[in-house]
Amino acid sequence: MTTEAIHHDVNETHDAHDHGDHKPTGFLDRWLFTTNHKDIGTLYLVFSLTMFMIGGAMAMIIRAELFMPGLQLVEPDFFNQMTTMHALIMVFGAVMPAWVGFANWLVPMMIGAPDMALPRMNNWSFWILPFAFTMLLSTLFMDSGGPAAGWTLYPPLVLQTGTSFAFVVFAVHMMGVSSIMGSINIIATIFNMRAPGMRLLRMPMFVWTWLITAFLLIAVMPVLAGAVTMLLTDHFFSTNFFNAAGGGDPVMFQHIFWFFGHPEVYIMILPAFGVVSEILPTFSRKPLFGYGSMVYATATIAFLSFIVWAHHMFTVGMPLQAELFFMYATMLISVPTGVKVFNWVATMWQGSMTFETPMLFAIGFVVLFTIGGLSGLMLAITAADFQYHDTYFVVAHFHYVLVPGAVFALMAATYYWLPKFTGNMYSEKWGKIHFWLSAIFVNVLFFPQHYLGLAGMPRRIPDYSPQFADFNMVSSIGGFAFGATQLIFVGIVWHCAFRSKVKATPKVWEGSRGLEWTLDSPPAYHSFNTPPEVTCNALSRAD
Amino acid sequence: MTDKQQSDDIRIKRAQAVKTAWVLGIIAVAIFATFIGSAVIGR
Amino acid sequence: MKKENTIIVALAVLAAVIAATWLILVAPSLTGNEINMTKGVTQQSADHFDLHMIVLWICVVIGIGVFTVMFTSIVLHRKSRGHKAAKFSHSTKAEMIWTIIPVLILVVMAVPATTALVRMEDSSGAEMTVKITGFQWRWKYEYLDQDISFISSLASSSNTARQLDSGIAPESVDNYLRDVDHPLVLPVGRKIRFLITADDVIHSWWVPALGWKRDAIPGFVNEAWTNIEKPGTYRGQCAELCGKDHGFMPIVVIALAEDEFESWVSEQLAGKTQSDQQVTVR
Repeated sequence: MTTEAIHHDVNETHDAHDHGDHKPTGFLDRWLFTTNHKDIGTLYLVFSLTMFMIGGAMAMIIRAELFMPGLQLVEPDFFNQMTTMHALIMVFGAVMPAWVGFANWLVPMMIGAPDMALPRMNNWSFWILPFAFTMLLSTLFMDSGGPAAGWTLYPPLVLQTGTSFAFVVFAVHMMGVSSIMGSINIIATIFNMRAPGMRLLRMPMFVWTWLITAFLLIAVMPVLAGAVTMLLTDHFFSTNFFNAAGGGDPVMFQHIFWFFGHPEVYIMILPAFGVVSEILPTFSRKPLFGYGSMVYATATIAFLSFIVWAHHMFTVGMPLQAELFFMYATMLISVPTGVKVFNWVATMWQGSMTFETPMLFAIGFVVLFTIGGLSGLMLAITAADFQYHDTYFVVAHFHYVLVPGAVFALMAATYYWLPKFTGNMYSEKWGKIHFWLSAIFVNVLFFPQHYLGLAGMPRRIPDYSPQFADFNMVSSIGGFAFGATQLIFVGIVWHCAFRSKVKATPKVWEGSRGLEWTLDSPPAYHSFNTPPEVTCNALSRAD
Repeated sequence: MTDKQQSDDIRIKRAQAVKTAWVLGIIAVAIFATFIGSAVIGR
Repeated sequence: MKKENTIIVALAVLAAVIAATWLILVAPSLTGNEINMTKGVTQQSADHFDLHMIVLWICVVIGIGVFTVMFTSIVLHRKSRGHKAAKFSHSTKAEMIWTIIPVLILVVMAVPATTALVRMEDSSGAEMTVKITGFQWRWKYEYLDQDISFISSLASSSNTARQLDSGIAPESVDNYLRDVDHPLVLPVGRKIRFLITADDVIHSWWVPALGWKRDAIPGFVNEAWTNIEKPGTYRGQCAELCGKDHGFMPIVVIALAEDEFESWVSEQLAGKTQSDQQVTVR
């Protein structure tokens, strides 16, 4: 079937009681009680952008205090609350919900399903989040202040947290429940709701990476829930899981936490791999290179993510054999990750490229994620890690994979699919300005942190010796500028949604392929009520 | 879209999806219980 | 597109990528700031520095290769130049090559990495032992063979200046945040074993010039060792978040020649009999 044929089939009203655009009317009916995957996707995305701004404001406080040596703005304890909350909010409030938002919007449209498999649970998965984060943020206004032990919540330090402790644990439980339900829904949708002909190995890469991500979430969010539950009983019910004074084992917490925590970093980056694998072929006008090996590489990365956790804790004093095992396993991850990067370059090679904003962010992702990946390879080397560990080198590394990594991919995805979602084109000029300012300042912000870490500056300190002053100032200036640049992004999204006069075509991009581009822009409120017939040439991959 | 407006095809797919969801939910709870349980027994 | 053109563009891109690499990896050191890991004063720190440089260079070469190909493509294969998209979508041979070659590179990296790690973890044959205990927010040092012990905290000059709105410029304080009241004094040329633990929360004992950090964990005793090759003063600080004053528990190691160390020990023992409470009870 041709693209045109699918287009007509799904957008025409062809049944008396089945109006594709039948939206609930009242505000509460539309948003609070919604079971529509597109509305829930929008809610997730708006929520995550809000959290990105709040978490970003905390980062501004951190960088302002670190602008010069000496304490100028905040007390050390408040500084620690900022680093802790910044991480919790960015990880659980900004990046993860943003990916779930895109999954909600795109997975049904990409596999030709009318909606998510379990729409009511979908509503609940989202509406837990605002309550969880209100509770988490409220701890900042409590007498004892918010959590200040780092997002890793290491005992025994975290057990010194005051009133806020129970609130933090409960908030983490709620985020976990939300993520688990969201992932169950995504897996149930992908396994059961695909249109005829949408075989697993024909699915778009974004669907594949999310399927694997959802399995990671189901496997590890309960582990985090278990870890914080044990912290809770240690704190309030005098158990001694992790409390050394009572015979507990603080290192066991770290093992459990990182058994969650390492897959967690792939939870944030795998959907980004998916997005980049969608965007590069579109703007190179050439099929994704090595679709099959991309799928297997993603699965391999997911598998390896379960056996490398202890590389986060090389300095706790493990037996030599364990250190060697975790070093080798971690180094191995660079093989499938390398395959991905090489395949992306091969996708661009001999293409017919144009450089609209999504493409710019995708290319920025490939370059800067590669830098973050290479510093990750350095960190895998146990003996060298005895120097790197817990320094700004680590801070630089994980911000490179998270900011110009995951966040750039989120920006790319926004520019790529926002015309589809809203029916309007964003301003290409402002999109490009946003990209170039972001790309420049993200490097001014994070690259000097490599130097600081190697020169000996530990992470999570509010004040430092004057020998680190120059590059901290450079980094802070980059931070302020990067933060301000993201306000442009908010303006662009707002303009695209409400003000833009330029209408988007169904296909939006010349080179776009996949079922979502066969729908109108914006798609009908209920799309694919009748499953489309899936044929090779409508797909983003070549058979 | 209300339940009644679903096509039979989608209704069947959703019924299957509910089963998938139960299996995954039970797996999640089992992982939670296993980790806490082994921490209790391990001590 | 003629083949010669591709090669010329690739060479130009290569030059640009190398220039960019120089700009971010070398040029910043021209500001007079330290931007690289210290070579340190022990075999371990030299090992770790060498390892760091080997892996760094491998990463730099890989990065330059990838970016050169990618930007060559970006320059040449654009629609605005009228480049027509090719149709290929996979090549088993190419994918085999870029799976196997990285594996070989990893094997090459693993050899020195393993050697250095095995050497680091071998604390046998130590000639003296120092027990280090982390507290919120100071260090306690016990010389188990010499019967000396004392607590080491942030120097009072730094402690005054570091308060919020102290009005004292950090630059005006000697070794701001990197000075202590009682430094750890160690002999050079002697294999010293450390037993590292903590009393309240987890800390991490780190002096970059010695080449490693090791966590101080309540209820655990971790082992590490050093053998300092050069007399001097070496500074470090706690590396694991340990509460509000985590940034204010520095470490100072003074390495003395063997005979000077012995006279320091006898001084300490003499002082100890005079004012016991001053050094041991705090």
